[in-house]
Amino acid sequence: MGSAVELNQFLTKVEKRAYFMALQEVKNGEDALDIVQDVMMSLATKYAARPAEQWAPLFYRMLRNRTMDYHRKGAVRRRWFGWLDRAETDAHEAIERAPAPAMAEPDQEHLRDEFTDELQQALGALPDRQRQAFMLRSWEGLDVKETAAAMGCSTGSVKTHYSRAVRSLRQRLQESYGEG
Amino acid sequence: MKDEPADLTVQERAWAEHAGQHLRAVEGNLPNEVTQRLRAMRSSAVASIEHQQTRSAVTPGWWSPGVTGGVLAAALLVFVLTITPQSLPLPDLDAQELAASQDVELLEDLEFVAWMLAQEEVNESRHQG
Repeated sequence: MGSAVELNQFLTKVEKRAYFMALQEVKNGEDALDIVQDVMMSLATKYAARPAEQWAPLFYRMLRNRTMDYHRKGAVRRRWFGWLDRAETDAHEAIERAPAPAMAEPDQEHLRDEFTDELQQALGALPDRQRQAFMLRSWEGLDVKETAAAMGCSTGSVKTHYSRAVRSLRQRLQESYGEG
Repeated sequence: MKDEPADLTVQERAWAEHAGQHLRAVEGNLPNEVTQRLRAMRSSAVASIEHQQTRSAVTPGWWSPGVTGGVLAAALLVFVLTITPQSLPLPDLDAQELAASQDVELLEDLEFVAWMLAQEEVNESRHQG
């Protein structure tokens, strides 16, 4: 069984990223936190006995399953109470408004914020599988095999989704930022 | 799109890495409230694994609530099977019921004796005839 210290280190590493990924999927700060909490507890109670190197694919697989459940169960609620969602995205907007980490040049900082904002918007516009593949490979840094395990598909599918995502994002952002 | 290669070019890989760095930088921009809640969730999850480890140190690794239920069910089955009819207490009968049952037995005995005598008479008459 993985130790509590190992689990703490792992969750410390992934918790913020997982929150952003959940937020990207569900567009709702509170729901994103609920999903991350659920996944953390599931990992600790059900899969802590697995080798620590399997935790990342398991964690992101559960995160993906929870967000899919969220979309399934919440479709009707959001149709009728969609106006509430706007109020609940305050956390997301606060993140966008928050200052970026200190950088050398103010102009570059401005460009970097715009680039990141545009990147996040472009990510949101991607098909689900492409977005997941991109976030797991480029953001989380999982390899192709781990990404396939997390997404529940073949390594070939991961390569296809990922390459399409990169090309689509690059094309969209190059229009504004050149080679970026 | 179908014919495009799945393998990225060097420039595409570099761009993807660059984009990943931007996204990782955003993680530092989380509001304090969200950061604190994530920390509390993590503590709770880690506490649950510590609790599990403490429990597994007390009970054997193979022990589980299912095993506990199985052992209890088996014990109950053994108890039920070892209770023989002789060991079961007789139901309490009141005096009237007891007397009635004794009357029935006596009546049945008398009927049997009468039938036996009748059969003997029949046999004797056959021998004589």
